[in-house]
Formats: sequence, structure tokens, C-alpha cells
Amino acid sequence: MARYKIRQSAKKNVDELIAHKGVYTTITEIMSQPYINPDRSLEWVPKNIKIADKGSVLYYVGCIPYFNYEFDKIDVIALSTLQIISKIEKEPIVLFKEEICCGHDVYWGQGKLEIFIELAKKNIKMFEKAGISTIVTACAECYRTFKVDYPKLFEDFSQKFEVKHIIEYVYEMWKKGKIEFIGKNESEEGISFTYHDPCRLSRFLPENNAITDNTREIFKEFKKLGYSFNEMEHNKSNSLCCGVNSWMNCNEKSKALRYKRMLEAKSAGSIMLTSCPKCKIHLSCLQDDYEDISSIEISDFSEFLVNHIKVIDSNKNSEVEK
Amino acid sequence: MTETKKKLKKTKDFEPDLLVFCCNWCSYAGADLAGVSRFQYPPNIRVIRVMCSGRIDPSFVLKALKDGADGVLISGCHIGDCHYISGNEYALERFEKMHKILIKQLGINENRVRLEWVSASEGKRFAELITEFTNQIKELGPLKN
Repeated sequence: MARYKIRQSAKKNVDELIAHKGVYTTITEIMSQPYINPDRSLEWVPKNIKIADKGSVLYYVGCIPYFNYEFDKIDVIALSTLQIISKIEKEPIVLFKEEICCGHDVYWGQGKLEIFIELAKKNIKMFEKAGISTIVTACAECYRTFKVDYPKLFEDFSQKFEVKHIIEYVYEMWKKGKIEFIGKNESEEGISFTYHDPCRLSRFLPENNAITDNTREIFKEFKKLGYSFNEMEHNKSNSLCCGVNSWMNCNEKSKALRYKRMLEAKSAGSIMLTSCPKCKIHLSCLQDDYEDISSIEISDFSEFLVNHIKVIDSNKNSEVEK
Repeated sequence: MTETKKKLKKTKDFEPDLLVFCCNWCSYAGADLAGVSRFQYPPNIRVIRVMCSGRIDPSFVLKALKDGADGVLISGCHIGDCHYISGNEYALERFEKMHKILIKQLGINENRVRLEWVSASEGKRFAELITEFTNQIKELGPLKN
């Protein structure tokens, strides 16, 4: 049962007990109003990357620019994802200056369905106006919302737009032979790493999804480069939760859950990858409190991959064939 | 031409709803002094008294804007005069971050949210400040337009 239903049955106000005093959910609610047109600063976009207002491929950033209010170094997820996509795509990537929230947190955390529908309508209008056909996102929550929740409300959503998580996107491009993985680990000792499955990319997706397996396949390829991938004790759809999805309040129980997760990660490797910004925020938050787990490097999937991707020049290959 | 006329009329008729957070020790006393001394200022404001400007969380401001306020003014003691020594410094730090990251990126005009220092003896200044702020918001028009 969703959290908001439990609270409603206990006659508690759903707006209470939202983490960070409800700053982020209030932002979402403000964005759902028709008179609000966000004006995001695109300062983090490097000058050599071309972005456009209209085109076929959209990078949906999500709420990452707003997270800068409280959390440090979160922009790096957006930056490295954009770098990966722009390396592969020839045309400029679409980035919206007036992008709004996907509505995941008000839907799951507070059960405000009306606001969620308002946001969905506004989003779809924006996508249609810009002529988008593919939506790429690096956020697990945005991905699930677009992939599962929007088509429930708007039946033609999945026909109009193709939604891809950055993992799916990289995997497809790799299978098509457009990219290869480079950057060999120079040190003699192999670096071991592990992967934390966000709930929205494993057990919260329909059962026929292949994302968890695709991720493992990419990681197996990294063995050639001197990075060995180890599974944690709980993995794939059994993976432990980070404890605080959709701005749930952090308490000693969720902290204990995360501590358990970090100990599992520590026994599996020195780098821990994840693909959800909130997992990254909350797991690295715990590292300030406990010294024994502070040695683990937590980074995002795209952050890890950005220096390991090389685009194969298709013209060169055809010349060789001739 | 007609559009500008309409706009003018709109700004004339428009009475903004403004929210003012006052700290107990300086700004609230300043507002009190303005009343006792009978300085006139527009009746568009609602004052909320807090113990210190450091108490004001960005979520209060955002909730006010969400629920229909056209502008929010945060006021506290001058820097160095805080009753709790450094509360207003925290308020300033929090406000600057909020302004840059939350309010501006949401596409809300920055002038709708302001931070001003008013001391207990500045009754006249409080009245002038409110008059100026109300006129500014009247020019900007309602947030829900």
C-alpha cells in the first residue's frame, strides 16, 4: 500500500512528514500551475556541446538543477549524461529551458493525482511542440513515470514517444556497434566495482524489462578493461532500498537499511555505481556519519561511463571494407 | 494600444496579497512603531511574527507563493544586531541560495521575494518599504495571470 494511503487511513495530513520541509514537493506543485514557466539556468552545459529547442532526441534532466540548493556536486550526473548522448548523436540534443517535473514525488509520496495529471498534460504538450520522438533520461524515477505511469493516463504516450534510460540507450548503441568501451585500467591491481539497483529500475518495472540484465552485460564487458564487477548479496529485484524514495523522511530505520547496504557494497568492491540521483544523494549522505564506509566511492552510471565511451566512426569502417 | 490600456487598468484595480515575515525583536517592533506613530502604508500586507529571521525556511516562502501570495518580504534585524547573535546571517545565506536556485529557476520574478533589514527604531522606514514593495508588485501584476 502506498505511503499516502497509510497516512490517509491514519487521518494524518499527507503534507506533514515530507523530507526537507516539503521544499521539493512544493516546487513540483508550483510547476503544475499553468502560469508558471520555469527559466532554468543552463550554466552547467559546456560550451562545446550544441543544444537546441527543437529536435528528435530530448535529454530530460529532471529536478537535478533544483537539488543544487542543498546537495553538492549533483550537476555532474546531468553533465556526464549530456556528454555521452552528444558524443553519440550527430544532431544537437534538445534541452528545455522551461522543463517541469515529471510528478513522480507528488504521485508516490503524497498521492496528489490531480497535480500529477496537470504536470503530465503540461509535459506532453511541451514534447509535442518540440517534435520529440525519443526521450532519454538519467533518472530512474523519471524513467518509470514516463514508461509506466504516463501510458496509464494517456494511452498513446508510449506510441508517440520512445522512453529510454541512459543504460538502455548505451546498451542499444553498443549492440548496434556504434560505440565501444575504452580506457584500460593502467594499475596492475584490478579495480572491483558493484552496482546498486534502484527500485524504480528493478522491481518497480514490469517483469519483462531487461534493464537489470543489460546493465550486467555492459559490466561484463568492462572485465577486459581491468574492472571486475561483483554482485552484492542482495541484487537485481531483491536489492535493498536506499530507504528514502520520493522525499520520505529519513529516520534511524532507513539509516540502518542504508548502512547494511553500504557494508554489502564494501565487501563487494571499492566503487559503487547506481543510476538514480536520489540513491546517490542518500547513500553518500551516510558516508559523512560513519567512517568505516567512507572509503567507498559512490558514482552515477553515466559518471562512470563518460570517460569509457568511444564512438566508432562508421565512415572509417566502410572504407576498410572497400 | 488597447492592450496597454487594459494592462494599466489591471494594475490600477489590482490589489496584491503580500506576506511579511517579521522578526520579534526588530522588524515587528518597527512595524509596531509605524503604527503607533501613525505612518500610513498600504493595507495589502499580512504580518507573520517569528522569533528570528533565521527561523524562516524556504519552504514557507514557496508555500506562500503556491497558495496565492503575490509577494513575500522577509525582514529581520540589521546584520550584527541579531538578538540571537547570528540568526540573520543564516537567514541571509539561506535567502541568497533560495533566490538563485529556487525562485529564479522557477520563472518567478525575483522582485517578488525580498529580504530587508528593519530595526526597531525604523518605523518610518518600515512604512516606506511597504509602500514601495506594494507599488512594485502592483506594477508586476498578479502572479496568477
